[in-house]
Amino acid sequence: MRTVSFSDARVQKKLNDKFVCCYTNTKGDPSAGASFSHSPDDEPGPCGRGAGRQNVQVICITPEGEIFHVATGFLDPKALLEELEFACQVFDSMQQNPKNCKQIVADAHEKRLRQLGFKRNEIAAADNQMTDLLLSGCNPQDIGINMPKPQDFGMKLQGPGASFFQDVTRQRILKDNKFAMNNPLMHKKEFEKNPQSLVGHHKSFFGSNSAFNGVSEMMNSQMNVSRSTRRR
Amino acid sequence: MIVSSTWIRNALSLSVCVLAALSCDALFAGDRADATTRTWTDITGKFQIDASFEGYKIGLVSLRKTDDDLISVPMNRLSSSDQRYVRYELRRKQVATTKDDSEAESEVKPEPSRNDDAEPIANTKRMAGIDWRCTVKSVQTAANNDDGTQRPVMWFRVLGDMEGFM
Repeated sequence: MRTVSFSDARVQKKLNDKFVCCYTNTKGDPSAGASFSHSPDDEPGPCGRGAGRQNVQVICITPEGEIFHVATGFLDPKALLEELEFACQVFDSMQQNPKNCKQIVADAHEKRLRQLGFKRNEIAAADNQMTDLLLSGCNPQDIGINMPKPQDFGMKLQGPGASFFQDVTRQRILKDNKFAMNNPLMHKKEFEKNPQSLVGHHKSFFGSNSAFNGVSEMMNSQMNVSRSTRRR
Repeated sequence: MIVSSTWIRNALSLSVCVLAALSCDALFAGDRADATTRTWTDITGKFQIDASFEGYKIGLVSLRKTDDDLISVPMNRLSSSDQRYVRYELRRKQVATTKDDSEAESEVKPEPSRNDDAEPIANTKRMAGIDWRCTVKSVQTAANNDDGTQRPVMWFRVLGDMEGFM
């Protein structure tokens, strides 16, 4: 996120001008995943949207500490900008109609999911262990295999297992938006008591190329993934 | 002539009240908003009053009651939804003012933006071109603008420190 997304000039301008930014190191938190340490000058490795959702979360809150939007895992600059723009729109709507903030947050996320192509029964369905299991699995995007963007959900992927891989990204987006929809304006203190309600109870892992000490290079070469698709 | 200290204290507090009322009237006289009467609630939820929003200055919200009395209430004593309403009204007025100004001026000024050479902000770490607030107080101070408007907070939860996160 640092070397790819936060280093993007458009992201920097958006965050500095429209948001107040702060961070929390989740090391030691039961909800945190696992990661090898890596240095700031590491070359960014291949990483797909939503990868390492237990390691990074972008959470948009009001100055009073109420959560109104979340996006977990890695987001490339374009995806991060989309999330921030959506958050700005929701926050503006809340300020315009302060009596109905919870409803505004819930409605905005439901509407967004519908626009992204999710069906009503998917949005209304309760979370289940299968979803968590799906999200905890290794995602080919994490090792550089091109995946569809959210707006491309309708496209047909090629190759064996394509629909499964497509569904991983899809489920990540669904789960994040449903969290904000089902818990509108949850206070951050309440959230911190049980962050697993957002990121799940499994343990995900993330490590950069140098942290892997070449292991990921070996994995990628074995999978015959071209270098051009792996580098961003 | 001997005057008791109690009398002096009473006289002084009365003067302060009168001065406060006068200064409130003067403070908000030029800042009248559209008179829409609504029910205002305090932070405890116990006290309510029907009044219209008149203005805001230095942490005080001015409200005009239905009997035309003008009162001022500290912003932080209002319920969170009332505080949001105040911010919305101020934001709306600010947008209207900006629009008027921009129509008056043909020259469009570029939006100021910080760069890496800018002076560091107090209690802030600049990393990857972004100002990261380091304390809860600095977050709240930055998120609540002087004019009563607000900015949302991007809270980044990350496994690792500032120099090593993903």
